[in-house]
Amino acid sequence: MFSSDILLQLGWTGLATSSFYMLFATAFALVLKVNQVWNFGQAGLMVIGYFSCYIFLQILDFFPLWAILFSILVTVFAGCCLEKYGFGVLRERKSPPLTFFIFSIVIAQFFVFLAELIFGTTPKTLYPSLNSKINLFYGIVITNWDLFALISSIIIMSVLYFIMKKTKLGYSMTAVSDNPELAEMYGIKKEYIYLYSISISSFLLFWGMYLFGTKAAIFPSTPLLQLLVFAVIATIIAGIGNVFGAALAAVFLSLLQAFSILLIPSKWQILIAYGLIFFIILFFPKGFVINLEVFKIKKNKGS
Amino acid sequence: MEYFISLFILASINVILATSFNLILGYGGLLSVAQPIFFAIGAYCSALIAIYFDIPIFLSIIFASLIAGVFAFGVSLPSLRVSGDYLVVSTLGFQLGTLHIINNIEITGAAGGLSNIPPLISHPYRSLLTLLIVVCFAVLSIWMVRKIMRSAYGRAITALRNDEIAFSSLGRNPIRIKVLIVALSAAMAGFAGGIYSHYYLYITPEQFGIFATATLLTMVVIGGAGTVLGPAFGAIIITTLPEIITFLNLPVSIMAPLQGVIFTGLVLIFIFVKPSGLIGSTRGLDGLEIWKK
Amino acid sequence: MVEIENRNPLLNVENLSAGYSDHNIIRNISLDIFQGEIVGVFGHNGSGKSTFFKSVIGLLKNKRGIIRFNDQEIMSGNISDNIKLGIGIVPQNNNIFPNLSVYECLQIASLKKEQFLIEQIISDFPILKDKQNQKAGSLSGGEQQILALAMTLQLDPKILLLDEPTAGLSPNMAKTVMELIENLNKNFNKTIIIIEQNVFSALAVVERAIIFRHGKVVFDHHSSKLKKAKNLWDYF
Repeated sequence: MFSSDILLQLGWTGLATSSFYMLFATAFALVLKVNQVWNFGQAGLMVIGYFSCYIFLQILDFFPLWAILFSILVTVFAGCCLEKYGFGVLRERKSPPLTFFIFSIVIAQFFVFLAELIFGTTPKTLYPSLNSKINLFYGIVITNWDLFALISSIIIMSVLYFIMKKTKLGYSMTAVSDNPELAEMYGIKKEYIYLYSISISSFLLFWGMYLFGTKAAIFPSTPLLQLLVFAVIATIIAGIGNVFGAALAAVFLSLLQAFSILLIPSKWQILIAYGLIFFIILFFPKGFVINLEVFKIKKNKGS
Repeated sequence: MEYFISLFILASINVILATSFNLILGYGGLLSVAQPIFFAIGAYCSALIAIYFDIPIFLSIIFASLIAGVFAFGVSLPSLRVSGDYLVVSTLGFQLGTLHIINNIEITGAAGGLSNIPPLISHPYRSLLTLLIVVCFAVLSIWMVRKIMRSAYGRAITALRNDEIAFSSLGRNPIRIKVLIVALSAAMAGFAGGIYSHYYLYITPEQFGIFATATLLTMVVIGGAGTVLGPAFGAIIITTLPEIITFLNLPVSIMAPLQGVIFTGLVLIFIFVKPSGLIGSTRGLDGLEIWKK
Repeated sequence: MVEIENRNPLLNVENLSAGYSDHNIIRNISLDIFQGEIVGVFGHNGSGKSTFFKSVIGLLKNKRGIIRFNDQEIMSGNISDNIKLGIGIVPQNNNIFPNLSVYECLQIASLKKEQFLIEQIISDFPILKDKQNQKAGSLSGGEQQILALAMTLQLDPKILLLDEPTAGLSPNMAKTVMELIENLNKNFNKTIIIIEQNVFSALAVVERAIIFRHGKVVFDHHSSKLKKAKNLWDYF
């Protein structure tokens, strides 16, 4: 019914698109695991990351590398402020989860409205032209953007995997996520760890937004209305606390969306994501528990 | 004069909506971001029933309100079965999904909106009469919430808030209580939506998006979540005050986000500076912090 | 008091009052703990024993008076830095990382120290050696206590604060844990303070006994005095 070329092309496009989805999902899952906050404010950080880069590139006309570096700094700084002066204060005050939810949603809305006020409600791109060189590989269209996005995301995810599994920072994050009070009794400053985790998350969000913004134009509300939901669903599918599982779930969602075009008109595609929320909550409330045991490095070798 | 009557009708409708939202947020301790969508379901369903079926408008509003309640039941039951956290996620999905559908199907008028909605009252003093009716319903909704919270059912809600585990161990079902709160609240919102559509006679999907959620949160948090009169007070302030800036004659493209920034900014300030809201007590035992363990 | 000591105390508490929000649980207590001591802290529930431990690690913000450890003042709200001075604490509950494996728990506990300690600790605790890949939360109560103790030892602390280490354990397991504690004091010269509800089993191990009542120290003597007491409970 469908030629193998079409299927391969859809698979490749889905995979390339998953590059930023996996970053968003990982960022959301990491903060949920370590800081133990449903950080809907992530959409606000995405807006900050994207529009700061837009200012550096399009308005201040910075050299791209500098624009990217400064935008990363701005996003990470905003993330740290969100943790320190937002979640940190609420945590200190022992606020109920309800307050955390309201705060995180409202802060996202605040930055969306602020961006709409400053930049208008029309879509914006990071570069004047979004054309990317096309390569044909056995009949499949592979753009340079596809390669750049996928390779850079895979490198970032690999570095994060190394950090989480092999470094003191990674162990500390795991400890704080499991029992923050006890972690302190082993000399781990949980406030610092919260800042590290939201900084990593902010970096992932910036890079995801950069990739998105070099492929398509973005409305200020896109991160909140479209991208955040994907990250949340991927996190739920993987099971809360499973950071790399969320990344894999994001790849799955991206592929599902790409292939759904064969059966569903494009304007209804987004409903798959929303529908999945109910499907997962109804049938797999604890997620599919994507287990990464296979990748686990045996730590007890030789002991 | 007509302008002020119309403004007060909107304020009264918002009183019903905010009071209904307070049931979930203030008394139930749950966050549902889809309250504007239940309002929308009420507005669209009532309008469509009135357009396509020959039944009294008031009945169509009641039907629409029930439909909103049933939807809320369907959305909240699966998520609350797992945890209160999931209610935010499922209602977010429901809000965005439903808006997307309304935006893309013909029967609702898609993005262009639904017009030619029959009015609730056809009379030269239509606005004044509607105002009287809506004020009555607004007062009724406040009275109802007060009555519920003072009944045995209300005591169960309070007990649930204080200690869910102890509540469950007495053989009571916390999920049932929570789902009922969400459904009742959605039905009230749907009712308000019905009145809205049959007074303003034109509705568009963009009225029920994230801006509406932000506005509603502002009303409840500023007024004082978990207090009977706070949200009503918040609704009146938040509906009437922005009218002051309309005199600046700013274009809509600036006006809407500016209001959004002000509203969300206000919520942020209140969360950190006065979480008890304007009506809540200064002891910090009202408003959002009432849920503190 | 037990005896007049000429040397500096390892832990010095002066006029300490502490508690939660504006309510003081312990009131104006002063005491010294010396290197190598093994001390039992007893008292009814609510007498201030655990609050004392929490003050020592700097967990309580509502605190008046001075706590010095190794001549350095303990600052409130700065637990991780206070711990680094050489204080190891095993809280009564939530004293392990339940979702991590035994090995990972030990690894996290040793983050601030040299890696080789893990291998040594694992060989010192045969129970843990066999279960190092098991989730800590799935261990039995006694095994969890032993793991918690092993984790704290990774810090190589100068003093060990143990909050009811045998609570909820079978008599056999409680005995094993107590022997382990005694061994740490006798053979590794660790200074230890134990809070215990089971006064008799603790008295078999401790040299000095302190009794808290209504937030005050009402007894601080050699444990033999308590052992010999005809009516032990009169002290409580």
